[in-house]
Amino acid sequence: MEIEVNLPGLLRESAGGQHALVLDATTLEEALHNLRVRYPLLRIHLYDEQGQVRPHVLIYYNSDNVAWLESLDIPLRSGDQVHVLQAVSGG
Amino acid sequence: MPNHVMLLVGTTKGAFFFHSDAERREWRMTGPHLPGWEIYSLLGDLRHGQRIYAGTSHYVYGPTVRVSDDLGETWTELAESPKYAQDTGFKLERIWQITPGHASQPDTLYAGVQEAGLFVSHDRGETWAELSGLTQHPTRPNWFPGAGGMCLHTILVDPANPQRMWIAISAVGVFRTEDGGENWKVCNNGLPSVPTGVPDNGIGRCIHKVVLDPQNSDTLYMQFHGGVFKSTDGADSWTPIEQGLPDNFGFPICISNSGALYLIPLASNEQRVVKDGSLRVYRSDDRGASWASVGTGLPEQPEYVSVLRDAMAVDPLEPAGVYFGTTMGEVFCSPDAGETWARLPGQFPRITTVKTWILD
Repeated sequence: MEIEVNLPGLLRESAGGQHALVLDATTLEEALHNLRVRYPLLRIHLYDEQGQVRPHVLIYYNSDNVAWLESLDIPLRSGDQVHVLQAVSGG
Repeated sequence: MPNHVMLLVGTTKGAFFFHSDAERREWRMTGPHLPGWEIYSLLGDLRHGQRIYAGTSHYVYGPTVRVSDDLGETWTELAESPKYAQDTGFKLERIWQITPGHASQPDTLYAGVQEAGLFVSHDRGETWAELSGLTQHPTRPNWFPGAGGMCLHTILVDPANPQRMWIAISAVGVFRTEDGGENWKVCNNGLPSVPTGVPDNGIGRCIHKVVLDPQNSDTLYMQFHGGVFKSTDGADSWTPIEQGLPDNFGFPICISNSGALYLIPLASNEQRVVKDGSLRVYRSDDRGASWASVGTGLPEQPEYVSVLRDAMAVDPLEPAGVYFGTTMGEVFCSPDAGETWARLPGQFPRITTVKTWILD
């Protein structure tokens, strides 16, 4: 199954200039793993040294923040998307 | 005489490069380069072509090193940028300084980072290793960050001895190695402690910037949190050198090839802007024995600005060019050792670093 990953502008150069990536995976967990392996610069920008998503990075699976999901072992369906966002607070 | 002089200016929102000739009176700007990224460190390196290293970071997306081999037209982000091993428990938040290795090590670079640590690359930045003798120093549990974060902001390599280096960490102190970075000695004797809430343990010295005398590797000069200091014994001890200064607080200090020292006093730890809105550069022509305000051409109108620790530089030409950038995004240039000043056109984001580069 293919899943599209949309990136914020600042990170496009870290993915070869692409604003949207297409990854092959069967589950969300596998998709995020493949993202880290295939794009090591994105791994640096999205995850800290402990492997945790950086505090102000939001990774959404469709309309769900992956941090809120009980499990990432979710079978992918046609049309699924991942969106990388910068958490915003304040004015 | 060189016919291409560059000024590399890093800001909290990208980098701006200025090009001139040996006269250094007319400048052409390019940029913003790497827009949107914080640029806390820049290095122009002629050892293999014309390469610019940039330490980039972002409060959301973290830090990496990027390089350009075409004066900023295009950039490559280094996938093996400095990073702490998972088991260290440290987080790399910002790259504060990128410094070339000794002349005998043309492929070597050092990177000073926050949280404080030192990394080395022996392959022109392709891979980096932490010099863990510093972060495993017995004093490490007593290191605490200052207002600017716990940053390793100064790296000095002894031109006479590639094994001998000094580093400085804000709110921690000066350290010296004699064995290329395996072992480090605390070099804070003579420096007052800053309030940390714990008994004085020899750490907790808030170093703002240190320079090495280009003519004597045992002589160093320091802008401290509250004081300006000199060492004539390789940093084993420090003594104040403040005669003629209106205030002893400030951030940058620079030295020219001829030994002239430059700094910009600020009005106290509590205010951290120039005193009475008067932006003035102070120079010492006697190795710190006395200081005096120099130069014409700096603003006469009130300028309640600051100049950050890495935002002042001196080029190696004769007479020396002196440059600084303010927290309000202004760049000032003196092509004659500080005697006359002019502001370069443009207003930029908060300026974090200013470096000179003589290309040819």
